[in-house]
Amino acid sequence: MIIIIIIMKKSLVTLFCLMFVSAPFAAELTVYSARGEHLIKPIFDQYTKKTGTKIRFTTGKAPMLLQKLVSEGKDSKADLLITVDAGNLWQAKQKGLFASVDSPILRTNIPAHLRDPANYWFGLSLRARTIIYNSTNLKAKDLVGYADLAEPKWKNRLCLRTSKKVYNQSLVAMLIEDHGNKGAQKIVEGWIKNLAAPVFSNDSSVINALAAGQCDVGIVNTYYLARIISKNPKLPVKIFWADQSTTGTHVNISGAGVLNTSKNKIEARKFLEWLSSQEAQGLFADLNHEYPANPVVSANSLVKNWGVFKQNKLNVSSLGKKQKEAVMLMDRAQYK
Amino acid sequence: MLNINKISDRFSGNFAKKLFVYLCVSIVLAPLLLNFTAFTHIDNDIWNHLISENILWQLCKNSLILCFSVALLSLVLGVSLGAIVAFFDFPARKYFEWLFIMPLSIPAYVFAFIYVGAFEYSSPINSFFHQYFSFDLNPPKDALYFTAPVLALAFYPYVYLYSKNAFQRGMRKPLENARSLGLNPIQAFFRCLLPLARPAIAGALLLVIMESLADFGAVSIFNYDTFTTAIYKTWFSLQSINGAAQLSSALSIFAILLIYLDFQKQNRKSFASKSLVSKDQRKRFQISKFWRIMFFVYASIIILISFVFPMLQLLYWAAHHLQNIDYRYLHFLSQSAIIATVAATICVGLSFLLVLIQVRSQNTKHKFLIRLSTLGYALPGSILAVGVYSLFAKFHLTHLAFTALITGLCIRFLSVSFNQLQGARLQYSDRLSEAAQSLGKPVTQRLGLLHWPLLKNTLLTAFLLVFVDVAKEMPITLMTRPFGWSPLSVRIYEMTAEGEWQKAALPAVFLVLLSCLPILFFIFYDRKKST
Repeated sequence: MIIIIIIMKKSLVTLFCLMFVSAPFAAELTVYSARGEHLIKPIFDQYTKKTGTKIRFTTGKAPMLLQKLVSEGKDSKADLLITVDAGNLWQAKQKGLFASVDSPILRTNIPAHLRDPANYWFGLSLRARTIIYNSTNLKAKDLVGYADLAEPKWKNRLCLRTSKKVYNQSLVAMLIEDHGNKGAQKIVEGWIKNLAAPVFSNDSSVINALAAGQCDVGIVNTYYLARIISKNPKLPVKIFWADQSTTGTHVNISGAGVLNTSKNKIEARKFLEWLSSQEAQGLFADLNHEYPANPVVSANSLVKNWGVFKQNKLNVSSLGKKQKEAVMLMDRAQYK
Repeated sequence: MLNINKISDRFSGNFAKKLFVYLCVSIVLAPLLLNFTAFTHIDNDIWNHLISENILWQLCKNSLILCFSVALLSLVLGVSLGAIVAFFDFPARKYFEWLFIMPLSIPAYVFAFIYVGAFEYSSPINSFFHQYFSFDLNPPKDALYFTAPVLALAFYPYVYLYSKNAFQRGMRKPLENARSLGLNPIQAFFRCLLPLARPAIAGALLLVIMESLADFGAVSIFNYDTFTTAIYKTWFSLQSINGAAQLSSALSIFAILLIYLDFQKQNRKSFASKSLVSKDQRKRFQISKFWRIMFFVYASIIILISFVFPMLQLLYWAAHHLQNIDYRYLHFLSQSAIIATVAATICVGLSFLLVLIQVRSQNTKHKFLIRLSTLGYALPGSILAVGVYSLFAKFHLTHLAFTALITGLCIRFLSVSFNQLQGARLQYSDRLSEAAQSLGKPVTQRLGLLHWPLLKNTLLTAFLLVFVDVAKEMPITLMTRPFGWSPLSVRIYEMTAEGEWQKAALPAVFLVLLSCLPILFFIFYDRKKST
């Protein structure tokens, strides 16, 4: 018993020393991330190796992480929130979770349309959602853009993912911005008339359906195609950059912001700046075949082969603003 | 556990019991009641949209049809399998007895993904039909015809396990009596045995119904929209957590109604057999060779489609990602095992006490209140997770992540062990307990000498069920787990979140292996008992 007490006392003293002695030397950041562990840990590890700053993180679904932060309030230990889709970042700002970060580095590294106008959050990787086609049945010259897929010539030839996925909600939000509510609804209604199969629950299924000849055209995020093509280079599915002569292809982001409750805002800002740097950007995007948000950094070779494309320059924060309207529109158009 | 009873004997037993019941019920109901507070703010535009576009009505209808179909299919599968395993000898019966539980170890959404993947247009199976028979296995236009059977394959083990246990608890005598009164075996089964096993089967059906009602993962893979889809849509897409909480309250009211109906029915009838089950009663009936083969074929087909096929698919995918296995999988596995063991032990312990108190209680309101403690199962997991987490946050207790996690899981899965134990407890007469009491035996001895031996098997099955359910649970674990914890279900989620289903197969296989552990223990325990 006495031995146990002595050991406990000793360990308490050590713990005490550790807490107060080591704090100034090893900073620690806490990150909440909606990107999975396998997509972020390698980057965090690299940062720790470089700076000694330890990164503690937890993962989860974006809406649940937001709710978690809201309930924690001032007690929250989190410093940064990383999430996918601009809609989620926009919501986090609306809920007052982010602090504005005034950083010349971030402003230089991240193009204006990929960050919050008031610098509350920043895009870190780019996700293009564009048209794909079956290359045995179609040629690139047959295609134009998103609105064209609503034309009767595509009847029974289109495959889409469910409207419940935020990627499609953001795409329709962009269409609302570009074509107005009525115009966008007409496009979505046209898509639904042209469907060759009931909507799919994920992008990979859309790609497989195209490859198998169930339909000729579809709309997906490019990294899903990259993932499948890297395993099966002969897949008869090709990318078409939508609306290149007009508004440009729809892009969304995965991004991050420093949290209002962070007790370590300077460290958090430094980390965010590093994430936007050339060193981190390549890795951040590469892990999931996405495009780096920093235009100086080039994408990996497979993605690079698809060529340069014109992005829709609409500020991605509009995607969050219009998300609700987009969802209601898709319901009215019977897009399941 | 025992301390509570000692205290309860020394002081007024009733007071301690009441305190215990109220404490349990209020912990379970707290996050549910939190949903009702959301009614202080109504998002008019969202409600208008949901009602004017006829969305809500359509989704209610979809939910009801789905629940009914899944319940019916699980009932037919579960009871028939439970009956043949309990009453008849056929080849490999001993193995089937445990194999039928195995589908529970595969999360319903993984089931959904495997089956959708297997039969979609681009699948190898369809390509084969397309090429050689010019025929496409297009998924049915109404997603219900695909969703309901697959969910039934995932959930029938509840009905199977509950009914098998009920049948094994001494149904031979009533069956023989019915036969001697001139009923043929089929009549005897439907008119005598099924009504006797009713409380157990109803408990299992309630689980199946609530699980189908609150399911989100599987139905979204089939793209079959239910009421729960509307809850998530309101939260995730229409950006209103309040609206989602309001819709969830409607779901809990529906669940309360179901529980009340079951409660009323149970309260009116007594199902108790007057005597204890003798070994002789557990003997199975001899049947002709033809029926032995028929039963074997039936059992094999069900196991093939509900476990072997999904498992082969998972193994096939996992084989492509074997390079991902490293020492970390030991951590994932052990974290899952710790969470599941702790949660299952607490759930079983609490339900054991609650069931014993409920059965002896004379007060109907009190009894119903105890039944309400099983309500957590009817809420979508993420909504419950938010409820539990915000309660902990309100009291500035978020650093107690593990406690929050276990609390959430226990609230969710208490009904799994409760319904199981209640079914078993109602099958033996109260008189036994009264007799023991009149002999002056204190509560602890009554528990140890009477209820424990009688309920031991059921307690172990209840433990197994909760263990398996907790291990595969995703939303609560995802939201409340402590920093650095990454149990298998979270691992599966992380892979599937970006559509990397094949990578998710590896942790899914580990999840099945983990669930095998308690099942193997059972087989071993059973063998030891029979020798």
